Amino acid sequence: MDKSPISYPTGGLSRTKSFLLVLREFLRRPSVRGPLLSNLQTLAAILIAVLAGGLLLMLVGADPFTAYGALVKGAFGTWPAFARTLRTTSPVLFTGLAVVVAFRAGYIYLGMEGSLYWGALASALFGIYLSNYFPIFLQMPVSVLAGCLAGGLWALFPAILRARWKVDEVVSTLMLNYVAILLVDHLVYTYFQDPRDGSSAERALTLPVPTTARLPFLSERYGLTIAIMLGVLLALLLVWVYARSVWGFEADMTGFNRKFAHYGGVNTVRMAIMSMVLSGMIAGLGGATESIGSYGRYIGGFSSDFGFSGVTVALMGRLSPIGALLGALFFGALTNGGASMELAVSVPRDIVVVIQGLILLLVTAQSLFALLRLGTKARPEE
Amino acid sequence: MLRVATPILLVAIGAAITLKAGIFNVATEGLMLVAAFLSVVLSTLTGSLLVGLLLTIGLTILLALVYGMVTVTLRADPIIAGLGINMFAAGITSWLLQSVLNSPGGFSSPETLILPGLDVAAFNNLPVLAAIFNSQNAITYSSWILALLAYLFVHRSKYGLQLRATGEHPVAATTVGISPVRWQYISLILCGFFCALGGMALSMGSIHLFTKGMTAGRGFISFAAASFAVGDIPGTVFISFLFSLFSSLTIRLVGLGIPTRIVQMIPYLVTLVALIFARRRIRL
Repeated sequence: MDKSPISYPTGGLSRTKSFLLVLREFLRRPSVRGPLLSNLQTLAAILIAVLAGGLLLMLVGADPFTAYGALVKGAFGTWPAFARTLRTTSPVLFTGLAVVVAFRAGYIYLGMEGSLYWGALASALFGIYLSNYFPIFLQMPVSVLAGCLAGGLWALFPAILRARWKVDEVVSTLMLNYVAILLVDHLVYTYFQDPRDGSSAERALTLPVPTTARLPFLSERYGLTIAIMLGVLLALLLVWVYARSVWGFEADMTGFNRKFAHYGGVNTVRMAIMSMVLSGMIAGLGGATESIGSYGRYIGGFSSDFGFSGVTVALMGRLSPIGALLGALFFGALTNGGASMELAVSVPRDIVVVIQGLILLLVTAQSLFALLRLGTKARPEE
Repeated sequence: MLRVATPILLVAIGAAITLKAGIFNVATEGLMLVAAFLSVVLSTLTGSLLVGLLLTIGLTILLALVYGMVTVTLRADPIIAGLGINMFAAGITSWLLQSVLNSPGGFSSPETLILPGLDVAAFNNLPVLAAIFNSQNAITYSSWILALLAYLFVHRSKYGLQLRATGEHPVAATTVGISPVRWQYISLILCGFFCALGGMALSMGSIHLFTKGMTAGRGFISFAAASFAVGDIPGTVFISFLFSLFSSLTIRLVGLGIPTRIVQMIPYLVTLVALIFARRRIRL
């Protein structure tokens, strides 16, 4: 059908000028302006962090352009490089999504690290000792499920404390993370230690998980399993949950204003428990995909602060599941590329942690207030 | 026990002051780590204990101000930005250890640069008191004086009143002419100062060694101690000592054949139990 071009009342303005006016009106729409500003803010945080990282590189006499060039090339330059990036993306994708679930409901649940360890242990032990009671095609799924449940159970404790007794979840989960890491390592070291491991007596290490209970590899050489696909599927599922389901709507409403949600008929106690347990389950799933995935056993200290990295990842993505996916990919690229950078300009890869810390420091400046209830606290204008 | 208590006590007072100004300051962990690192490294590099310690205090305050700028002026979420500071601290200390100092894992300063111990002659005739109080280092003694000063400042001075007003009701504070922003910055400077001393006490108190991630949650524990007391200095001091008592008991337990990892867990569990008993809503 032939459409006549829409004509705006230009009032004697030139075509360019009227276009700019329309654009400005478009950008001023609340539905456009909010996301645009918050994305700009994320980009600004990344930019500042990367610039600061560059300054540090210059400080030790390395050329920042060469260094960052090596980083990008090491992360995306070749197929093997990209496969390794996806490998490092996988665990933080799970912790990132775990953060999304808890934070969107307004709970600053930081127990991802603990759930990650319990998930890793439970699925490894289930895979080693119990999975042979199941038919072969079920062995892997039930082991994954075991990890998922263990992560959720661990989260149940701070969740009940929070929901029933108003025990602050920030401090309790920070403490419980240390407890989980030590306890899991202790259990493995005392009861499940691989007797053949003579290399380092200090490292907790279980027996290898039988192949039938392990996640299939996409590329064994680069340690890439189907975990990354599971993560993407989970992200898509969460997109649906928050866009279409009643629970997702209630969670967002609770996060926006808990009292309002309560008066609106949301059982906020149940919401607190459910959102934190679900968060723990997702983190547990992440742990499972590490132990019965890439490593094939539980290895003490397998997580290099994936829990807190998940916070960075989720907030970079403005607490949207797809955003978290992109954030996780960014993190994966940064970590994996950091290793290449270390080889290329012989600067330790810990610079990547510095950059990540700076992003986390800056990423909430200004706009997360709308999303987290913390912003509702009155802060006077100066 | 007193020696174990010093770092937690100092950092907890710092956290308490910021809490009174209404900042949920979990950055104490990172500030403490940076201070522990800087004090060992800078005193070694400059060859002077005094210069090293002064530089440490200055730089830690600077980092606290960066945190303040982001949370107070740029209005970032204090918890998230605090975690950012902690991650930054972990990254930068470990990075500097490797790239500049060429000693990944840890860095120790020469023995000569250990903090001086003080002996109080009056206690020499009293064995029990002498065992407790003598041969404590200078920071331990100053921590008690500083705790007293902090108490006087927060609870007994007109400035303390302004500080508390800022945390309790910023709008009301503004209407009577108090600038909450200014008091939040001041509280962060003080917090930086206390965290600097706490970090020093950790890495240069009885040992003179910095190891990667050596704070191991002590900053969080200190923050927890401050938050049980809702930032009140006497309560904060009491709870810090209580936590430290348990921590020092755990050192004995290792000798009794209880597994190391279980023993290491105790300080965190004690904090958690205290948190459950306190049951107070710290954060709105």
